[in-house]
Amino acid sequence: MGLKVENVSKSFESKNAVSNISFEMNEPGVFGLLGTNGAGKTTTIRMILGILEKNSGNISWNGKSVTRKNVNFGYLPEERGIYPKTKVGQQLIYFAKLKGMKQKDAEESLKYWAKKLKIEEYINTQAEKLSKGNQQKVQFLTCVMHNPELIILDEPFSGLDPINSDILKNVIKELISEGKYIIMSSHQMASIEEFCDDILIINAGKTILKGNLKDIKNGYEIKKIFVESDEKIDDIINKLGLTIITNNENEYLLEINNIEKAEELLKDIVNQGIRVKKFELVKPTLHDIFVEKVGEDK
Amino acid sequence: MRDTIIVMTHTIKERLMKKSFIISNLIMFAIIILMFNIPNIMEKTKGDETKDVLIVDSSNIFENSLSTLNSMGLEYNFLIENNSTSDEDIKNRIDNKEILGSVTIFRDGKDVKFNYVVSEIGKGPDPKVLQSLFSKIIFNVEVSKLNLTSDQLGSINTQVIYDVKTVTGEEAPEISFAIIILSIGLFFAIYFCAYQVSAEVTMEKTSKIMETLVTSTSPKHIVLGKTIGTGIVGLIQLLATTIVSLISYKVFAEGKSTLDFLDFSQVTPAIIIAAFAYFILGYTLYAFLYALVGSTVSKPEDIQSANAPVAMLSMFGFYFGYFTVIFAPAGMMTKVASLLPFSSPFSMPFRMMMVTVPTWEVLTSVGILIVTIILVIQISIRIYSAAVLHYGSRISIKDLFKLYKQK
Repeated sequence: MGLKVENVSKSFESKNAVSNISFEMNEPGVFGLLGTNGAGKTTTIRMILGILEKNSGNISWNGKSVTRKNVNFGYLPEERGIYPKTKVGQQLIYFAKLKGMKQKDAEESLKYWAKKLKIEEYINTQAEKLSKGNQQKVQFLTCVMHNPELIILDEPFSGLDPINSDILKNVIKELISEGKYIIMSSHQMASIEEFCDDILIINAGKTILKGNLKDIKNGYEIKKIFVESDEKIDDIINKLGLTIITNNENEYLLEINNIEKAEELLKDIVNQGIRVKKFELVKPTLHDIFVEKVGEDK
Repeated sequence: MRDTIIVMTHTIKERLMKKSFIISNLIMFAIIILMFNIPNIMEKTKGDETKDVLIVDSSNIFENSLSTLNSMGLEYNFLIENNSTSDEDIKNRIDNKEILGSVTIFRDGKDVKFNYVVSEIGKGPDPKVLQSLFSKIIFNVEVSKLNLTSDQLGSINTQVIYDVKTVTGEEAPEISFAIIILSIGLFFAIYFCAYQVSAEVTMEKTSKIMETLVTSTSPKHIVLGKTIGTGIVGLIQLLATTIVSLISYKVFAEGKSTLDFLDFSQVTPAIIIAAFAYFILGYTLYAFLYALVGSTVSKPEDIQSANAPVAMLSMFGFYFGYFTVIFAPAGMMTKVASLLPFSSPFSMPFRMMMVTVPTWEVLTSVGILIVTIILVIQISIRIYSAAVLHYGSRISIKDLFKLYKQK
């Protein structure tokens, strides 16, 4: 059940945009699709939505091909677009109707969502007169107003201020609790870490890492430690041959090759009678994993 | 089908509610009403301007027969004087608005000449009309001296009348100003309505709405709904223009001699139906071509160059259809123009107003046009579907072929 993408490939003339990408979403939640600019994320999304024909592979939803008929989906594209001269309410109802809603249901849904995203006062305003953040909220509504099962969000938080970003985050959390399947593509690793259970990192159209985010992070060796002491410990660090990543007064972020080095460092500091305020083995962030993996691939 | 109707309804609503659309149409209607009121305005501005024209025949060359001018149906009152009048006196009388102008007749050898003075060029009777009337009057004066019998007089005044017919008995056509206006109007209606489709498609691409749109419904429904919607708005506009023109004509201009050139007698109900049918077909053909080129553009500055080939094609179609009908309404090239799908929407209604066109030719022309439209719709939808998500530089003709082949 859910979404299944199997060995999907797409090439434009001689250039491979996406090569043999596979992943599954068996239960509701958020799936993170990561990659650098031009990595093939949008091409993959367009193939999932059926607006771009794949060269090979298979994409299915509950065992059936992904079509407008088989899946009720919503899509927030990275390229934001609205009808500039059309009133907000008019265009939202237009899109809701195109997605199968009746006029009356579309009007009710508009009321509900406009209130939720705090744009009720702009329903009868031309879209071009809205701020960028509010325009983005309007576009988000085109994606969710028709109550889709599968939601694809391409860079949902880009261009939003912290307050609007929080409003959107709360809505996404509600959608997750309602059992929606969400694919989120973003460059903001913190957002992916906040929402995603499983991730797929692609580079130059190829999969370079995929799986459960927690498992991936647990599987990574700890390569950084943070130390805060009463005195400077540069001599000890140099003696052990460790690399300083950042140093602010008596706070050090250090790179280590293995966990034994960390134990050795702690022992030497204590032996020299220096008081240790904080000693932390820093787990790799998604940002670190992404940079490392994409760097390796290049 | 449901989605096509939704897109169509949205397109119609959007176009009809646009301020620019409402204002431009109101301006157009105002211009039409104003045009039909020109004779009334001219009459009003003339006010109580005198209609008197002085004719000075001091040598009495016309032997007191010039008074017949007043019974010839001209809108002027001719004051005949046989005493010589100075130029200064004539000028004063014109300046004082006693007379509109003056004609001074004199003999120059065997010829009779006249000097014509008016308050300003364009006012007063046409000098050519006066020349013709004077020639007739003096001819009658001279003939009357010959003491001819009425039969002899009749034979002298014999007029030569011509009547051109084809071997099939068909009468030679006459091109009236009304026909030319209708033909040019039909071209502009088709051209501008079809052009709107390109503008709409490009607007959707440049405002980046296209990706949301193609994930909401299929490109086929978008392009069909948009084209039909814009076409219906065009039809409404055409109908409204026709109604405003007809009402304006009836209310303000019917029976005015200054609008005699607007003779709509050749425009029969059958021709009006044909004109509307060819508008729909011509619009559909060009609208889908414009939808195709509109989908290849993603920057507003590229619109003009992308539309150029279709604009050139429609111009060629119009001029080919128009001039072949004007120069030889029943010629071979005219028949070709009224069968060729890119010129027939402009040529055939024009030709039908000029000569009787066999039904089979009309049906063949419509048939060829419909087949071409079906082909163009298929090609346009296919290229549109592939091109609407293309952003960046404009798609070349070579790329269009690739897109057509691509799934």
